[in-house]
Amino acid sequence: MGLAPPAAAAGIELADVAKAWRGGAALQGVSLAVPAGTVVGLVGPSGAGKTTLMRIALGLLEPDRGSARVLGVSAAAIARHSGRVGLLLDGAALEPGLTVADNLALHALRHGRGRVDAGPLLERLGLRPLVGRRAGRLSQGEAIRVALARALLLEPAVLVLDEPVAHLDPALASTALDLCLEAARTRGAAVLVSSHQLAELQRVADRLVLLHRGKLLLDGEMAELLATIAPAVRVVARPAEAARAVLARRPEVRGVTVLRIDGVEALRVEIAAAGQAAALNAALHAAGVAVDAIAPERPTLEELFRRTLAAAGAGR
Amino acid sequence: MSALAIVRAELFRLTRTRAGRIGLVVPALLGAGQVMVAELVATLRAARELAERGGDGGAAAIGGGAEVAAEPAFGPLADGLGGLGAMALVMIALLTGAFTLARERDQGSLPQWYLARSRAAVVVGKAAATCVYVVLAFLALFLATFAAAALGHDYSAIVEDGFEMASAAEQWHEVALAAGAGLPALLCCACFGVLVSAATPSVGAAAIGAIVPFTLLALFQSGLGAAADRLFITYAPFFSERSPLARLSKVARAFSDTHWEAGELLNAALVPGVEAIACIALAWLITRSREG
Repeated sequence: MGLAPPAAAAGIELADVAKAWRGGAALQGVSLAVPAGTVVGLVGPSGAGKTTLMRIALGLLEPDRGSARVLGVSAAAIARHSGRVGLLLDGAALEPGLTVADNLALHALRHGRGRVDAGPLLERLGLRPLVGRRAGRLSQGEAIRVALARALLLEPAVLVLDEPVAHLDPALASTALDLCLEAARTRGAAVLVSSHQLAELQRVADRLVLLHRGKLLLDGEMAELLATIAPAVRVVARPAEAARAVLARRPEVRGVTVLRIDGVEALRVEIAAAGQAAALNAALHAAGVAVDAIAPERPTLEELFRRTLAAAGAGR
Repeated sequence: MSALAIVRAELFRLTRTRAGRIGLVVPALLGAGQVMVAELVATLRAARELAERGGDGGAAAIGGGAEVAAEPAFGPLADGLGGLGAMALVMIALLTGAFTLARERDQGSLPQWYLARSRAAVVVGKAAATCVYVVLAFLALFLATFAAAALGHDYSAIVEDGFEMASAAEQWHEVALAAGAGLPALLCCACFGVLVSAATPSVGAAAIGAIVPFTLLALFQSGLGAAADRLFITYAPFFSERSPLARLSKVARAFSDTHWEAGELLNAALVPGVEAIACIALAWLITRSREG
């Protein structure tokens, strides 16, 4: 309660946090840290406890067990950091009767600030033409962009963003996450962001936290976690069945999965070590299989997500 | 004080939205409208009576109109301050209070406030801003009614048979007393709304929870006996003859049998004042223990 922040306090620290609802446990002994200057991606299936975790991290919910701290003070006293914590939770949550500009002005006033120049943010998020429009007349995507501008407006030291790119087109989703990344890199903000757009999250997150049924399944550096996925090669060959048979016999092949991408049958071939695409190509040619394409596959967060949940028996 | 930022932000919100602006002017329009309609009706009645007497012609009718206008403006001003406009203001105070927290909760913006200031500061700040808003709406009602009454009357002394019953200064004093003693009940309506807002799950429930009990108690106030003396509703200008604003209508006309009773104005100011503070304290306790 109300302690002065230590010199190198993490943006957010959760220690052994547990929370139960009537329907069961929402979080079970979750510990995590979001250090300053870091983007932490929070992923998990719907109902995994991501939003509950964020609410506890912001002091909006009291945990049944464990502790949550923000910038070195108890999350329950988060208002001491007024203006230093940016938030996007429960959707856009804008004031529908106010214009976009007034919504941003209201946010600044709430935190005891005067008018803040939102021009550059509005420009980046494509909101310039909408400044005079009432929030109640915005589309969902526009409203989310305004909410994101609001979260970033006061240049907070901590950003907690729940689904900030939902309802955004790919270009704007990319811009939105770039802004989060810039906040971490240029101002040293601690950013905790949840999203189901895993490819975008993989691009910006330094660390990854995977939550499932209230438990942490993964927590680590993004690159290290991705490196745990076995290297693979994507092969498009004819006839596919013959190619599959040839590859299955190769000693360096760990497994072959048939994929169907845009109507084209492709093989995902897991191999023991990277750099074996050429050898596989040669083996296919030698067996008389026509190879249309063969390329090493970059490990993806989506694959990591799928595998981790499958291993945990999630079945999704 | 940390709640000051919340007061400023909430006032900004209340005065920048269309609904908030409508809430400010509706009591004023109703108050002024009531005065003007009453004036029109009185003028028409006087003209008809003169016409029925016959023989005096148009000039006499005009003279009759002048007779109606001879009443000082304080009476019509008091009618406007304690009539429809005041009743609308009571409803607006209740609803504005009821929406403070419930609406934010419904639209998911409550966390934005809780991250800015402590919950105590949010509750106190929002209640204070709602009270300021009610005072602004009351000022608008006063100014509109003042202007409407001035259209057909002068703010002059009450003179009967050449004897000055009450000077203009004395009448202004009565108006000031009634406004000062009547305002706390209006503010308490807003604070009661904030309490309901803290305790209810949605905007709809908050609106119903504020208006229904208030209206029922106001309508059946006489059945409460002595307990009514300890209830702010008794002093609110809403179907209550004990409201200083409602009573002003007779006091300002210097009726011989009407005057402020001993302690009446003090009660009217103190009871709602204490209950307003109690409402805010309860709202804070509820908000503190409520998750979200």
